[in-house]
Amino acid sequence: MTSSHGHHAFHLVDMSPWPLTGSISAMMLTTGLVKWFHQFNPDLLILGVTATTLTMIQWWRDITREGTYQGLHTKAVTIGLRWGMILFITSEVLFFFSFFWAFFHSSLAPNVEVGSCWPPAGIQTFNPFQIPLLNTAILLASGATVTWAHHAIMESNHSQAMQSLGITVFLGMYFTALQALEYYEAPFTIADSVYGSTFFVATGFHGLHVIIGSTFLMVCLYRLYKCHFSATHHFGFEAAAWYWHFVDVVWLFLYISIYWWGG
Amino acid sequence: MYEWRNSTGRLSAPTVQTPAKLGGAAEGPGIIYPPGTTFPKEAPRGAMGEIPGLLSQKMQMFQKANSIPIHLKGGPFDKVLFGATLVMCAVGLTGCLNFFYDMSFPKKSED
Repeated sequence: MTSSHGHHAFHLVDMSPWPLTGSISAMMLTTGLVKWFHQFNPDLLILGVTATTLTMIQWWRDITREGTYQGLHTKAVTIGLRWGMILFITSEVLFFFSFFWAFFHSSLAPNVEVGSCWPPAGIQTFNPFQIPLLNTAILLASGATVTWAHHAIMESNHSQAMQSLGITVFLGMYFTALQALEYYEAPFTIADSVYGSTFFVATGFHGLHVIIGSTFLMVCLYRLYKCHFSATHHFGFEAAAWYWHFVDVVWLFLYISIYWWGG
Repeated sequence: MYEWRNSTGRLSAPTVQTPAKLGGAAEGPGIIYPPGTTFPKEAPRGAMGEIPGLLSQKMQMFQKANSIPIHLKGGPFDKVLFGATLVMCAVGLTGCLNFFYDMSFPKKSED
């Protein structure tokens, strides 16, 4: 039987429905948000979240099948995937840059409406040397454990790789739990002047990225358990580790500027 | 030899194989590579040992030449999941269009 692969090192994918279902799901998400705001009905939004989640699960499942089970991820294909992940993380950096701009815009020259001071008059800020410092230690430690996991994979040390990646996932979830507790106990809300807006939007989006990164690492833990990774070929894990380091660096910037300088 | 497919707009290998004894060639004239061309090959497994049993089974299942696309190749549950996603998208798309139509007409508020 002749192969449809052709005499090249690249991967021309099978016809796939996921770009279309992903696009429709994105429209359901955005339209659903508007419908919730205007008609107080979240049904379309919930359907959109479900359809988006299903699309993501199936699309990434298919990529795992093509790479791990069908062996279609040659060196050339992996280089393309690396560039893709680098460009995606760069776009996320630009996304967070805008929230930091907003914070510095309001905090470097505080207007008369907040009392011409930063933090604004009446705002009780978090002590940066309590839970926020613990969160910093947690994320820095998780950066070390994910590097430990990478070295364990490269040295074919399966038990250490499972342990270190497991600890990394746990630390990510520990951070999320502590941050949720902080949100619950906060003496100010998102509606409390531009301080509340900049604080909760910046830390909120960061928290969402911690959840995304933890999920990515959890999927890698499962794939590691199923022996999908070899000592020389484990790009899915590397991509998760890159994303996790990015999340860690964003937190360091948040901690220094919003929690410490801005507190 | 090669067939034009309208769906992809490309030439691809034929799905129907002409038996060689009837004079049909399974593949066209071979490509002449310049001397010294390196070809892709599998990295030697070396000290890594055999591929674990379950993983090997998955590899065989997904490499079967049955022309099933990757998103359905894992078995009947793939069809269930795909169907559910399609149904949700259809319902959601209708819901979106319905919402756009509804919001296009201003409603008189009761003051």
